[in-house]
This record gives sequence, structure tokens and C-alpha cells, in this order.
Amino acid sequence: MRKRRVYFRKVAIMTVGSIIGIIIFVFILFPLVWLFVTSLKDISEVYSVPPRWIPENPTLELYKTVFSSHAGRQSSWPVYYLNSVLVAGVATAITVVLASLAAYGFARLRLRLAAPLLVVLLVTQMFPGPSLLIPIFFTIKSMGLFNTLYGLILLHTAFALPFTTWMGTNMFRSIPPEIEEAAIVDGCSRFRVFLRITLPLSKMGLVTTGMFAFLLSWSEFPFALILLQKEKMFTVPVGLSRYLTAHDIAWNEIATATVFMAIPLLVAFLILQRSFVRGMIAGYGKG
Amino acid sequence: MVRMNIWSMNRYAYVLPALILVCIFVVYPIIYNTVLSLQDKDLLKPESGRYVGLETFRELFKDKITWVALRQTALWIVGASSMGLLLALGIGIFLSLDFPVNKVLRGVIVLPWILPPLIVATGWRWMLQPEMGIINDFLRRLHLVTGYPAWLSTKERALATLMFVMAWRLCPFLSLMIMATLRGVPTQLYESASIDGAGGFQQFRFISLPFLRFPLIVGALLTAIWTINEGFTIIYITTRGGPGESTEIMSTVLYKLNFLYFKTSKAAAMSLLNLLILFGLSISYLVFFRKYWLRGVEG
Repeated sequence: MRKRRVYFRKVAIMTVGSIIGIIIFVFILFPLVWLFVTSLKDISEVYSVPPRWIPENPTLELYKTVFSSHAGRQSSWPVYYLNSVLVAGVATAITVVLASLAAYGFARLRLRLAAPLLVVLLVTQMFPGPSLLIPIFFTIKSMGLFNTLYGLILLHTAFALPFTTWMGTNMFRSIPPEIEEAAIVDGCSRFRVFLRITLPLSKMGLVTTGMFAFLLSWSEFPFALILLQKEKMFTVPVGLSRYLTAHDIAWNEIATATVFMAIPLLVAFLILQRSFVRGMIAGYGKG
Repeated sequence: MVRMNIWSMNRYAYVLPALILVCIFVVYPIIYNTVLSLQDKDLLKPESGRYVGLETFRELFKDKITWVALRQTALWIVGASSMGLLLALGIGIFLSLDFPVNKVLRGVIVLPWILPPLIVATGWRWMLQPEMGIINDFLRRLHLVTGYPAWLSTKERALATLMFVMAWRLCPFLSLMIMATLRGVPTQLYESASIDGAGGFQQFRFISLPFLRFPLIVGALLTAIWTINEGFTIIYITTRGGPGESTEIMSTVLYKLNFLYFKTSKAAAMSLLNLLILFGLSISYLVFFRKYWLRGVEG
């Protein structure tokens, strides 16, 4: 009798737990799922009241507009995506190079100013955001980089550097210095040691660093908005924001663009899930 | 012969390129912004741009919108952060338990956090449409609302709705922090407490909560910083500060001041206020968190 009661209690707890779990699951995933569902609808279905939960004639037609400028009608999405890929790609590459160099310097070269500089980097990590819109707008303008992708690339790199340098510094410190010292005794130069030994040992960390930089650049909106005002230069976020100010918003087209914009993030995230989350939390947390 | 190259000549060569970029695009703009805020630069007046001391601030504080923005920024930070913390507390505690669903859930929970704020704002704006939106449809089916409440275009509701959207985005990070903390609490503590006759709630109150104090404070400070930095995108995409001025915060106002009304110095003054808040929060974060990052600094 008693055993049975315990058993029922267990089942009840499991059921309640699973229900709560499913509610959280839906709460977290639904917005992206709904954007995807919307992207499969045609325009008449988008405007139906009440909304249809499952599209009647689902179609991937709209995803073509992302790739080709003549799919059905004039589409600017390919240009926006190309710009975004360029900006995020180049910014990521520069960030990984500069951040790992700086991190190596901080981790290994016993710089006297290492401690204060690292604190400065830690503080500067908090500021890139709309409170710098005004001065950066004029700085970029006076450098002649207004309405160019170069300006945005440099900016995104600078924004990603403080955090990635910190991440890299911790990463290099976790490598036992004995390996490098052995190479130096053998007559290897510092820089060669860095290139040939330290970097290959931190491949995963470098990928995580790169992913952080890519995520930051690919998602960045406010600065792209003020620095790119020619349509040819728009990145996806700016293009999206222009579409969203239109009078009749074609929500299925918007949804398609957002889902497509989310894809690289989701793929990268699926591949790197564990190390990425650990890296992010460690970066903000354990230091 | 000693091989000379720039890498061995100067060890600072490794760190300089990164530092220079950060100086040009983060440190210098903060200084330049301060300079601008002490001038009377107005892009429509060619002879403007002289040093006027605190005159611009005096004028800024004469505007009604400034006070509205200050009040709403405070509401925004406190409201969105505490909503995020509450959501995260619930989700984090649940995730720390051993339900089979949690294996999947711990993986997908980060989604709102890796999605760009722009997509978050776009998605919720679409879902919150009064008639075509899925949220109202869902709530109507459950008989929780009648009619079609306009979540984003009613003055009384818009800011609170956006706080919820922001909280949705923030809760994954906080949940994971809370989960990690709770799973780190030694189980013996709970065992001995239950031998002493402490119930579930008491165990939570006297064992878990003290452990959570630190991550909650740090989480609150970090979220506050993020609500300031990401608030602009969320609001710009959804309501642009409207209806009326009901969702204006400092960052949306400073954007309009410069890019719509061309009052550069006024915008810079507003930016400086925003920067001061960020600075205060960052310093508190660093002070609270010192034992962690100090280890990183000292190596």
C-alpha cells in the first residue's frame, strides 16, 4: 500500500515536471518557430484573422528572394546578405588575429602594464552601445569612412576585441608554459612559438573567439543604421529595419529574412554549443 | 648573429594593435562625447560648436522629454531586469532538477540569447500584432482576453510589453547561471537539512538562496547593462518610442536629438548621462566580481 503511494507520487511529480518543461520549451522556442511558419505562408494567409497555425500551402518560394535578385520581383536581400557576410567575415578574421596576439602578450610576455590594461579592457567591454552613437558617427565621418563597409568592419572589430582578448588571455594561460619554454630553449623565436605551438594548441578556443566576433558583427544594428545610408551598403539588420517601417509590412518576407539571418547563428551554435556557452559564462563569470 | 624582428624587439607590439583599435573606437569616443556635450553644436546652425560649459545640460533639463526619458529608462532597467530575473529564477530552479526533459531544455534554452536583439524585436512585434498576431489568438482561445488588445500601440501597455520582450531575451543567461549555482550546492547540505526536518521551502530559503545571492547580484548588474545597450534596438524596431512618448528611453531620445533634430551637443549630453549610468553599473559589477577577474588580471 505504502509502496504504491510512493510510486504514484513519483509519477505525479514526473508528469508535472514534464508539463512545466514543455511549457518552458515552447516559451523559449516558439518565437523562432512562428517566424519560420510565417515564412512558409503566402501573403493572403499572412493577413488572415485569426492567424492560421499551420499554413495551408506551405512554400519555400520566398527563400529564393534571399539568393537571387530576380525571384518574382526586385529583391535587395542578396546585396544585404553579401554586405553582412563581408562585414562579419572580415571583422571576425581581424578580431581573431588581433585578439590572439594581444592575449598572447598579456598571458606570456610579462608586460608591466598588463594588469591595468586588462582592467581597462574589462571596463571598455561595457560601453559599446547606443551611448556612443553620436561621437562614433562623427569620428567615422571625419575618417572618411562614412557609408563604407570598412568603417563598420573596424568598429565591429574594436567592439569585439575587449571580450575576445580576455577570453584568449585565459585560454593561453591554461596551456602549460613548459611546452613553449622547451621550444625557446631549442632556439625558436617567440613569434614562431606563438604561431607553431600556442595557436595550434588553442584551436577550439580560437573558433569560439571567432564565433563571438561573428555573432557580434552579424547582429549589430544601431551603428550599422547610422553609418550606412546608401542602400547598396546596407547590412541585413539595416535592410530589415527599412522594411519594418513600410506601411504594409509583408510579414512573410520579413520572417524569411530573419530566419535566414538566424541560420548561421544556429548552425554555429549547434556545432559549438558546449564550448561556446562555457566560454561565454566563463568570460563573464570565472575570469 | 641575433635575429631581429619586431616581435622580439618590443613585447608591446603584440598588444598594441588591439589596444589602438579599442582606443580609437571606444575610449576616444567617450572623451569626444564629453567635449561635444560641453559645446553648443547644432548641425543646422553653422556658427555653432563653441564651448559653452554646462549650458547644454541646463537646456537639456528644461525639456520635458528629458525627464520622461530618465524616468522611463529607470523603469526600463529595473522592470526588464527584475522580470528577467524572476523568469530566470523559475526556469533556473527547474533546470537544476533531474527531469528527463531537462537534457534537451538545457541545450535549447540559450536560443533567445544568441538571437540578435533585432530578430527578437521583429519576431515579438509580429506575434504581438492585435489581429494577425498569434499571441492574442492564443490568449483568446484560452479566454484570457476579450477583443484584440493592442500590446504595443497602447500607451499604458507598450513599455511593460517591451520589458517582457527584453526579459525573454535575458532569461537564458540568468537561468544558466542560476542552474549552475544550484547544481554546485553540495547535496549533503540538503540531506542533513531534511534529517533535521526542514521542508522543501525551508531548504530553498536557507540553503539555496544564500548560494544564489552572489549570482543574482552579478546577474542583475550585467542584465541592467544589457537592458541599456540593447534597449535601443528593441524599441527602435517595435515602437520607435511611441505611442506618444510612452516608450522613449535615453538612447532613443539621443538618437532622435541628433539624427532627426540635428542637436548634436544636446544628444551628446544625453549620451553622457547614459554613459554615467553604464559607468556606475560597470564599476559596481567589477567591485562585486573582483575576486574572479582579479585572478584573471594577475595571471
